[in-house]
Amino acid sequence: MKKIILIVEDEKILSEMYKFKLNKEGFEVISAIEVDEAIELAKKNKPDLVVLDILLPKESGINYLIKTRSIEELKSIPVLVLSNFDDNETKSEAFKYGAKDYLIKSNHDPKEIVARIKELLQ
Amino acid sequence: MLLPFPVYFLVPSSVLIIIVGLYGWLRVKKRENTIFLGLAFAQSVWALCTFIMWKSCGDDPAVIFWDRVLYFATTLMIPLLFHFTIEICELWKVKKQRILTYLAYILGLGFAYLSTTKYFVDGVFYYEWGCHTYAKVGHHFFFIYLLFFCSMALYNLFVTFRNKEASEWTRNRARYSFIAFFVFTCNAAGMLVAYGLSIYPIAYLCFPIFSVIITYAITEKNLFVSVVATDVLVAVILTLTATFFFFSELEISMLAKGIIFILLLLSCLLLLKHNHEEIQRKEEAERISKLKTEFISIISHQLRTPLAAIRGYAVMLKDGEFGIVPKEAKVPVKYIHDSSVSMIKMVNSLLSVTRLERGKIELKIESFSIVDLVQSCIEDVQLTAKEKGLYLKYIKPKNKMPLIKGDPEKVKHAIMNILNNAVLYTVKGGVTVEVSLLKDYFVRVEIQDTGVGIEPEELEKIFASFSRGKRGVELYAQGTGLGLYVARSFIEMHRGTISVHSEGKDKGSTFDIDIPVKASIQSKQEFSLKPDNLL
Repeated sequence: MKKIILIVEDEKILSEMYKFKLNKEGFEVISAIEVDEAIELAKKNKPDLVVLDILLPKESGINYLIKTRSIEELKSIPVLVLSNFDDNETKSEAFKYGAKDYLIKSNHDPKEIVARIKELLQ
Repeated sequence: MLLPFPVYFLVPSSVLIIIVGLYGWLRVKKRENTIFLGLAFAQSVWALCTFIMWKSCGDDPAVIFWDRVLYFATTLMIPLLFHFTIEICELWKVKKQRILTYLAYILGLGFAYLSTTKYFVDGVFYYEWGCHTYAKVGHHFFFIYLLFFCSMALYNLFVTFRNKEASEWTRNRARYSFIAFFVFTCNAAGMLVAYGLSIYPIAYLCFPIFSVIITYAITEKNLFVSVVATDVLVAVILTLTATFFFFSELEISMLAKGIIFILLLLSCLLLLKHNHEEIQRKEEAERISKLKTEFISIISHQLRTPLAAIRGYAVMLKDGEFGIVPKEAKVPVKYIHDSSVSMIKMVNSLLSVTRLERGKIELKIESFSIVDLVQSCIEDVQLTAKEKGLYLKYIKPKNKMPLIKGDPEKVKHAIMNILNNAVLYTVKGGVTVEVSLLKDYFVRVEIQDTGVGIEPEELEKIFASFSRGKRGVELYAQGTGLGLYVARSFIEMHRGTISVHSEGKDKGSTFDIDIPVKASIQSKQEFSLKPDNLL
């Protein structure tokens, strides 16, 4: 059975790029562009991993981490933060609220990101 | 005995002028400040000795002694005043003016010697307001000398401030100097008493007025020396208050009290004005800093997003994820990918430097294995080295290495910057990385390449920001010249050092990164740019 990855990313161009690569690697991909939509999709589809951006419309990706901590069915789903913010404050906050890893989008190509996703899923 | 009130103003004025002179000289030791300090010192001695002489009236030998000392100071004051105006008017390059300056010093020294003898002043006479010595032959010549050089100085200042070709700054300095020195020269009227004229010593008020003009020009217009206005104004207030404290007899004179009160009031108002301006400047600096932080945040996000897309799609195209790339398109696709990676590195370097320049870097301190950290660096550059046909050798230590305390991310950043350069600037051969322990206290990461090398005169410069080696630029046109600067900054934050050796052109380079095993490192560090980094 294919593993499901939820991509929470508002930049369509990037979202499609990751989706394309993940599909090629045998994953099923669902995507959302904001936090509440992502929570709904996660509840419905039970993804195996969430790839989460920080700067999203309406509210920050950090809020996804905060909100899902209190949702029993979602709190154990690993989250890989993929953002272009690399300040320590954002990173610390992400890890504080349960992110498994934090990668800077521009510093890693899709191949490296998929490799990290596979590691986290093991 | 109650002295005429202008005499009392000599003391605070002398204190004020010496504070201003000394303060300016201590801050910036340039020639005009040194001359101004000498002038302030001579004026100060003159004013204090004049006051003591007035206080000594009745004791003739004392009056003669103090009068000779004050004349000694006056003889030195004239060449210094003339020289100072030459500097202000930027006339030192004019031969005639230089000769006149030397002449002023030679004659001044001659008169200084003469002033200690009976041929200058001798004997004491008393008049309605106080006492004075009699002028002798030396005094007559000195008076002519004084009038000549003071007139020349004022003439130079006048011509300069009327000269429309001179810069606004020079003209302003000349204007204020002219007013101040004209007032000061009026003091010379007091010397007429030496010829038996009974004149009220009102001329002594010229000195405090001169001091106030100079202080105003410095604090308000920043014309002579760069001083912190509030410091000087506090000195003025203290001096004026001390005048009341030490000369209780001044209380009798309403006029003296009134003048001191007005001066105190003006000083306090100026002080308040400066404090207000200081607060405004601070608020403005904070606002700019906040804007800069927001700007960096936007840049980091907005620039990196399209770059991530270019890089990602280029690498997928290159790897044939969208089908076989036509033969002719393979190289251009590789160029797109490589250029996007270069640009990402530039953005990352610029962001690191901006953070360094903001002055605060936060380190996440933990214990880590340097052997594993170097291993991960090697893995990161392995592919690039392989593509270039270079060997990449890692010599691990034979013995067990202690863990290092520090921020592994920053240490890796520093090592990667050097390792990337080593691979980038090596065409043939390869790179060897060796980790070793130095005397149990330091770990050394040695990165040796067989690359383009560094010329001896560039060895130290390459660590400066925006600096790149000549050979590096020849081989690889892109690059910000920030990598080594960032690397050194991060290693220094761990109390470590980076040194470089190279035999020269095409003879490779060796970088030694030494990091102490146990160093007391603060997680939040203040970082300041060193002047050499800005070369």
